[in-house]
Amino acid sequence: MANYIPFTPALLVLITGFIFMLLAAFADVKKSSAIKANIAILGFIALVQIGVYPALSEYRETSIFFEMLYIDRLGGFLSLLFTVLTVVFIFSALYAKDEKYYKPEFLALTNFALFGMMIMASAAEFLTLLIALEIVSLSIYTLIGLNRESSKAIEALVKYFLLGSIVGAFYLLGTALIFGSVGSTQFEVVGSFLVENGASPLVLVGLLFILVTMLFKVTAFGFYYWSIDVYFGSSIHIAGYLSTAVKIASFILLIRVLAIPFEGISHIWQPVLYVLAILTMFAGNLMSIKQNNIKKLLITSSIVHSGYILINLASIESLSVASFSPAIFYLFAYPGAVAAMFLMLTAFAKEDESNLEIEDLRGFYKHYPVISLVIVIFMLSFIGFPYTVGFFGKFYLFSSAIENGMTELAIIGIINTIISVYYYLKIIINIYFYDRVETLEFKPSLVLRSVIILLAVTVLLGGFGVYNLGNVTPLFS
Amino acid sequence: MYEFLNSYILSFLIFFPFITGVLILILPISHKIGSFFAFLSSTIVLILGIYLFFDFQEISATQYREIFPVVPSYGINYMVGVDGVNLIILMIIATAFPALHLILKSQQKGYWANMLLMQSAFMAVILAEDLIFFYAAWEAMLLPVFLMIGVYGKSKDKPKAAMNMMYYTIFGSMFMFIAIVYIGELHFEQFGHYSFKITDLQNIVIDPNEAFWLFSAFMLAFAIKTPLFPFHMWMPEAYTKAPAGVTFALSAIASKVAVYAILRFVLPLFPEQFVLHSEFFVTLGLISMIYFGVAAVAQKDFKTILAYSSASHLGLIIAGVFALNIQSMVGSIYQVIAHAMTSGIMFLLVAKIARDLQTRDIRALGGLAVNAPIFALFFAIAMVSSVGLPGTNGFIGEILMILGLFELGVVYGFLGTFSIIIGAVYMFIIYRKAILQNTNSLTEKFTDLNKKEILAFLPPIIMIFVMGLYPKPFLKKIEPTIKMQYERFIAPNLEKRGK
Repeated sequence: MANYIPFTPALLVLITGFIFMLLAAFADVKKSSAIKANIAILGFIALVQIGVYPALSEYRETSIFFEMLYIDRLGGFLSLLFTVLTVVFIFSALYAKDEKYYKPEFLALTNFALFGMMIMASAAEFLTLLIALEIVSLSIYTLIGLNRESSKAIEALVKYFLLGSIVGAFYLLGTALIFGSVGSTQFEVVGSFLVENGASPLVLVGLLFILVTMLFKVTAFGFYYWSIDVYFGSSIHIAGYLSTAVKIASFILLIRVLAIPFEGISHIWQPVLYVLAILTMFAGNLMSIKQNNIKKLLITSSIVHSGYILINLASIESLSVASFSPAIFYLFAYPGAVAAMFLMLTAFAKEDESNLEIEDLRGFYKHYPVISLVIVIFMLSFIGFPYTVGFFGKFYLFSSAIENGMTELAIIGIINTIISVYYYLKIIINIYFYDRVETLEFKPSLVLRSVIILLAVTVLLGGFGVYNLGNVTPLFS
Repeated sequence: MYEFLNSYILSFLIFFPFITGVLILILPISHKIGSFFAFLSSTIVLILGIYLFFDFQEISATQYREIFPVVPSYGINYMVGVDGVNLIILMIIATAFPALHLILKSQQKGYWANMLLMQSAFMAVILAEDLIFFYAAWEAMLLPVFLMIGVYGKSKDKPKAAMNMMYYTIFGSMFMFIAIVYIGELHFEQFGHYSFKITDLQNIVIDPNEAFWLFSAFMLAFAIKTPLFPFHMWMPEAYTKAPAGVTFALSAIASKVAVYAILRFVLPLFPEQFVLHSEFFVTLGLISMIYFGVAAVAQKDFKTILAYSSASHLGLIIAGVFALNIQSMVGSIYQVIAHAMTSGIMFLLVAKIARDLQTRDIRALGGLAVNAPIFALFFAIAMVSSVGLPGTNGFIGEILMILGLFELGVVYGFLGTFSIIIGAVYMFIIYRKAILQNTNSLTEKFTDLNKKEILAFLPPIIMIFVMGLYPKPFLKKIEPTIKMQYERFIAPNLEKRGK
């Protein structure tokens, strides 16, 4: 029974979701008080998570609900991270310019999405994983659709829904094929079966289908095009949420699935990821380099960063999850800056902040020197410039590739970094080196401003090695 | 207090300018007070630098070493130390910045804050003994330069110049970064733990084929920064479009840092490759020297001419570094100091022309000496030193390098001498055109240096002669380190090649 205690945070989130659903139906709660209440509840849940963290067992040792969920430190830590990112997301909705993004159901859906991601982070079995994935996806679809005034949002919703359902079907078929040949959907059982018996063609097809779903979610090459339309079509808040929390959750899923059930057949999926990593980086860069729209640039360049993470997955030799720690470190390091950039976009007083061009930032530093400096810090972190956490993120990724004898992947990674310098510098250049043509108002609330600055400080702290890879590896020990 | 200062003096030299720079930027103080604090800060650094110079023991070992672990599991440390070679460059950095306050007229506190950040990064680069920290400092050097070209540069296409400069140098340094990571991995494979300390990395064995690529990656970064032909495409634009302080820093310090980094990192890490490819780099250095010298003749902008002439001298310095004998290496380092002074003075004097007359076109100038004799005198002294007239410090460096080049091969020595003569000829032509002859309507208004400016220029002018007539105290600081490096890294490989 004691094993179930670490599950309480997820349960609390689920209950919160139900409460807000009932409130939305039967009570008329003001937007700001509802949001504040939810932030308070999530803050409490975060405290509970910190409280139960010591009770979490060693990696993969304990599972609950008939081995459907792992109770380990990685899952616990990720749940906490998702909670924090969700708080940021909900908080950004508080300052949304009008009621366009907010309906009473908003909070219920967000809590359900958070619950789904928490389950995703600790799923130990293929079907649980699918259910969690679908909970998240359905919540996000609806969140995008809440904005009925924008035809772009509706388009995004339809595209995401259709494609998401199709890959979901692929996943289910893949699981069925694996169940048919192994006789179980549990990660551990499938893993040891494949190590002992090797992969039959049926299992390989199953693997292929499951990989398709995963790669779709992490926007790898060949599976990324939806993300540009969907992220761009949905509001800035949701785009930010999708490219931080949801993306981390998807990558963690991919890592878990590759490391546990498919451990024995890494010689089959690693070459695939090897090619995909290279193509993803180049494709993302090609799309980013001519981009002038800031929101779109953030979306397309995040594809490049997915490519960097794939470098680690494609190159490791020993398939313990600990050897994925460079990728996991990067997953923790990168979204802070992304979340901050999306938050910042919400504060621009423009009719539609999706249309903010890089040129609109011209002369920005004269009026907002501190925020300009903060943007520079984030851009440098994206580049991987020293003194930012992005530097160490890339350092670990590239050194893991070299360590495993794949120097060429590291070199291709650095070439893509060099390409990406161009568009990140373009933003800095426009902020500092040109004078403003027309006045663009930027009205961040005090809290928003402090959150952004706080995120910048964490980026810098990571750059000075205050937290580093050594802090990630204990998650697996 | 004394103990404390002695054990943390290098960190103080690095972080004090940085912290004051950031404070000046973010605190809401007036431009005047901000500039004053910047001046005060760089003066304190200068005093500490002088203290360090006299406290330094004349031995080859590294002194004042400080180590602080940053990422222990990956062996990344903050590690700094000073030896005979970087002490000299440290002195250049420490002396140059306070003098700028007396000469440049900028009233912007952001300008001076960025100069402080630049000084901090230069200090970090030359003092670093850990490769990752070195790389971090190397990149950090770029940012203030980049921002200052963009913000304080005057020309219209300055964003393009800044972008070019940044992109070129990042291009080089990113490959160096991969090489650094690779070397760290090699250390891990051979010793079982990560380390990026230069003292540890000297012990690893590198397969010659791998070593060639790693060596090339390092040399690419340094060749772009120096700049060597044909990696100089960013240089003329960046030098010309940058504000005076930045041009000064790029020419007098940043390019020297690259030369220094070759001796500090490339030589100990890849001694075999260094010896193997020495003739290639001597040739490249001499080609650069001649190419930039000829390119300078065709220019009309005074600042661009100086940029090319400065690059031309660096070509000779690189040739001296790779000439594989002690005297040419010592000569190179000596010339690094001499050239920092002469080119620094000349760039700043031209900045005064540009500020007073709003033009740098040498066709529009002429007769400056009539109204400004002291200006003309100072310029002449810097110029004769830069062409290597006996009695000036430029002569000592150049004669040592030329002797070294003759020892390497008569052709190299001959080419070196020949290109020095070319350099002398065009400098005298330009001097005659721009500064001598009769005044015209524009140059009639030109005024001489004021007292503050004379005060700032006087110490380096005196040093030009002191170092030219009595070089011994300086050579004594440089020689032990160079000798040690030669005996440890070059001599064994030369013997190997001889067999």
